[in-house]
Parts: sequence; structure tokens; C-alpha cells
Amino acid sequence: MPTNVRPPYDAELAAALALVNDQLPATITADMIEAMRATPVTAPIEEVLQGRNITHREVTIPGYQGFGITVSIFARAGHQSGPGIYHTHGGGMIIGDRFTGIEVPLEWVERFGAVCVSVEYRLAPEFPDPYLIEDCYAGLVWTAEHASELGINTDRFIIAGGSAGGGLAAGTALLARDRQGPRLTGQVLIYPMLDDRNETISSNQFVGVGVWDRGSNETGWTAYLGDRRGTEDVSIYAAPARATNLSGLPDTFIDVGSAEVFRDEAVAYAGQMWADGGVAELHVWPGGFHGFDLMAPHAQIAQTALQTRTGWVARHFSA
Amino acid sequence: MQQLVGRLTALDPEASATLKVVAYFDTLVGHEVGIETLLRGASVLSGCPVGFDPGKSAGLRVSPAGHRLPAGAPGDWPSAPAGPGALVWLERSGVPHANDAMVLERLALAVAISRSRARPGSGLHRAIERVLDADAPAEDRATAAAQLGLDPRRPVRAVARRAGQPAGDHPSSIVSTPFGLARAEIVPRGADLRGADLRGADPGRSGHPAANGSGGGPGAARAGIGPAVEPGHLPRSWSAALVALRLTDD
Repeated sequence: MPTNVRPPYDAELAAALALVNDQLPATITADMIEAMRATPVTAPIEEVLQGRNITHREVTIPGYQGFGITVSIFARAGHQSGPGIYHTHGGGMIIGDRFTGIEVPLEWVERFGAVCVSVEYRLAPEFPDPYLIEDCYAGLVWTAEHASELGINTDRFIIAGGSAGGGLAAGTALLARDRQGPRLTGQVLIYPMLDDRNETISSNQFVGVGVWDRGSNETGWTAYLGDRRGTEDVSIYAAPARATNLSGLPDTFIDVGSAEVFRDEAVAYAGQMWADGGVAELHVWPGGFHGFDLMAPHAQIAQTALQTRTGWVARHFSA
Repeated sequence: MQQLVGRLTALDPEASATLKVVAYFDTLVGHEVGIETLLRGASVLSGCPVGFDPGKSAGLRVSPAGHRLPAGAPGDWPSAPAGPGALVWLERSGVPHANDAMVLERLALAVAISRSRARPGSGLHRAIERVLDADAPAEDRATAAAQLGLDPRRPVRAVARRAGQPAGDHPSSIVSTPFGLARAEIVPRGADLRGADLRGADPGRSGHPAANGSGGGPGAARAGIGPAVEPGHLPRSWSAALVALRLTDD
């Protein structure tokens, strides 16, 4: 049941949240999807790349059922060979593009000489499940098949995504496991959207407050799954929280804010991985709202979260 | 979703943005954050580096990304006094933004409050905060009243003024309220509030380095005056004073 009892926001994030909410309401409803797509919240990619020693090219590849989808490929200028990052962007399954949240993997490209492939999967509700996850999987397969020409040494090959992109990353890793597909060595699940059921305590604690509240979560999952949302007819690839066996997955990093809907499903996912003998690192940042590291990167706790995540990637790539 | 916060600089300077700046700092002050957090706030809101010179010890500079910068001097940058001996400044290159003055003003005020809270031995701020706090235990309020030299049986009033107004002759401090920051003053029942106290709010008299440049002009002396109560009931007087102050607003 919805409740008003919830962890307080971090002081600095509370101040920033008021500004964020001016442009991004807590509750996103289906009738707002079109307007939100028309108002980009991410800076143009040229602006993001300005002053960085990173090249960008785009390739059209076969997505689900052979439909052409775009991937963006980022590497340092003069790149030879390095770790691979396959990126699935966020946006609640309904908005965003392959540049949403790209700053995070771009930093790893710049610092660790990695190659990042970011996939433009098709969005719900126009393209419901399984289009999104299958587009993501097709892009992963393409990346693995073209690894040597992309300059990716697959000894270190991670999948990473935030929010809906975290859920899609987790689902894609499950598909890769179950189809004996490309071998991933790590997955970075950033406040991942894993559970369509909207039944956890945290999904009842944020109603009309914060970023991506309970109502937004219902909007996103309903767009993705339609009438199947919350029923038995949902695959573990669409909603990885439904997986009862998380063994055989790559080393995992999960981070999430304590003050957001996805808190409990992120914690539970790490718990299930440990139960199944897996390797997972979990960080719950106190008072963090959904996406706090991207929306208030100046805040002290955001800086710490970003450093911690990048630190995990550094350890993974150098191990 | 990045940079939503930094975009405040591009917003309408007159209407909504001003309120947002005020609300941003009110939230930080209400949470009693440290000076570096306040500086980060001013820096992200303005999009340029911000500096703090406490006078006697080492200063601090931060970037809009929230990182520390090498210490520097205020030089010719726009600056504002932030309590005794201290200064904050904003390193705007090129054309000033419409909100720069407001950001600097609120930063200066917030830093002054933070420092008065942190100042060892002073205790005035905390005592006033505590004596007005309806949620504080009665014993804590009684202790705070004693620290302020109040006789438990002699009635006093809480007086609310705008945060930018300078201190008068009675114990006062800037406190955080549900309506934003305000100056709280504790005065004896018999005090002549139309005389000495309102003169105390006249910026022309004191030359106080108030951070709030809008302290003068019509309405500067507006005050909300609470009923005279025993010190133990000051929260009630304060609540009435705040309502009265709000009624004087345009």
C-alpha cells in the first residue's frame, strides 16, 4: 500500500530535486509520452563530445527480425584494442535515445581506452515486449561478432545501462546466458528497472514525489507489457526480477538510491545473485532520488557514487 | 537528463528563477549543510566558479561540476560580505547573468547563517532556534530560554522580520521557517516596537553589512509581532509572528 513513510532525501539532492521537478514531473502518464519525446532532456551529442578525445560513428545493424537499427560507436581517437562496453540507454522503456546517460560510459571510454557501442532500440508502447529486449540482444550479438574490427578485446566485455537501460542490460545478460550467446564478463546495472509488479515497499513509498515515481513506473511497464503487466505471462528477460535463478551471470555491479522506487528490486536482485553463488557488488546511496548522479552531478553524494561506479569498472578492466 | 539544474541560468530572471534560487538555499540552510555545499549550490546555479574567504583561515573555491579548485582571492569579482570578516564571490567572466546578484546575495546570507551556527561559544543562533521550536522538548526550550537570559515568568514576544533585515537591539538570528528564512527576535513585553525596534530595522542607521541588498526601501521595516507569552510558550508567539509577517507581504 502507498505510504508517506520514506527515507529523506540527501540535503543537497533535496535542493536540486525542486529544480529537476520543474522540468520533470514526478508522475509521468501515458498522455505525456509524446511531449516528453519532443523535449530532449539530454544535451546534443556533439556538445557532450566537445573537448573529449573521442570519435563517434554510427552504423545500421540488423535488429529484431532483421529490422535496421542504429548503433553509435565511441572510441578514443587512434584506438587499437581495449575492453568493450555495450550500452543500453534509459528512459522508462518509453523515451530517450542511445545518447541518454551516455556520459557515464563515455568516461570509461576516455579513461580506460574502452570501446562503447550504444544501441537505439525501438521504444514502447509502439513496440512492446519483446521488441526492446530483442533489439538490445541483436545489438549485443552484432557487437560480439564485430569485436575485432571494432577494436574490442572480449576478454573484458561488459554490458551497462541505467534505469530502463539497467533492466534491459540485465535482461540481455540473461538472454546471452540462456541462448549461449556472447560471453559478457561484467554487467553494470545502474538503478535498474527490473520488476513490472510494482509491489515492493519502495515502489509504494514514492507516489507523486521524486523522479520516476510509482505512477511513472506503472506507465512505463504498461507501455512495455500492456495487459500482461503484473500477470504470470511476463518473461524473465522483460522483467529480470522474475528470474528465480541468477546463477551463471557475469560479475555484477548494482547501484541505486535509497529514496527511489527501484531501491528494493535492485537490492533483491543482488541478493538473488548471492543466493545463487554469483559475484555482485551493491551500493545503496542514502537519500538518492532516481538518476541523482546524472541530474545533480555536482552534489557530493553524486560525485561519490560516480567515482565508486567508475572504480568498479577500473578494477574489472584491470583484473 | 543531465544538466537540468545548470539550466537555471537560462531561465527568466525576474519571475520564477528568483524564487528557485531562494528555495534552493532555504532547503540547504534548513538542512544545516556546511559551507562547501552552499558554495557548490551557488556554483551550479550560476554556472561559474564561486569562492569563499573566511578572513583568517584558508579559503575555498569550487567549480560548477562540484569540484574543489585551488584557493584564490576575490580580486575584482562581484562579492558580498558573509558574516564577520568573511566574503563570498562569484567568478563570472563576460556578461553577468540576470540571477548573479540574487545567487550571491542568498549565498552570502546562507554562509553567514552556517558560520553563526558553527561559531563556538556563541550559541545565540541555536538558542533562538530551540526556544521557538514547537517540536523541541520543553526542557530543551527552558534551557535555551535561560541561555538567552529570559526569566521564565516574564512575558516576551517573538518578532519576525524578513531575513535580509539587520539585527536590532534584542537577541535575534536568522532561522529557517516553513515560509523560508526569516529573522527572529525575542523582545520583552514592554518594548516599544514602533520606536527603537523599527529603527533597528532601518538599514540607514546601522551600516550593517547585510548581505541582502534589498534591505532598504519601502517595506524594509515590516515586522510580524507575536503575542506576549511566557518564554515556555514562545513557539506559539513565533507562529503568530510569522503569519503576521506574511500578511504584510505584497
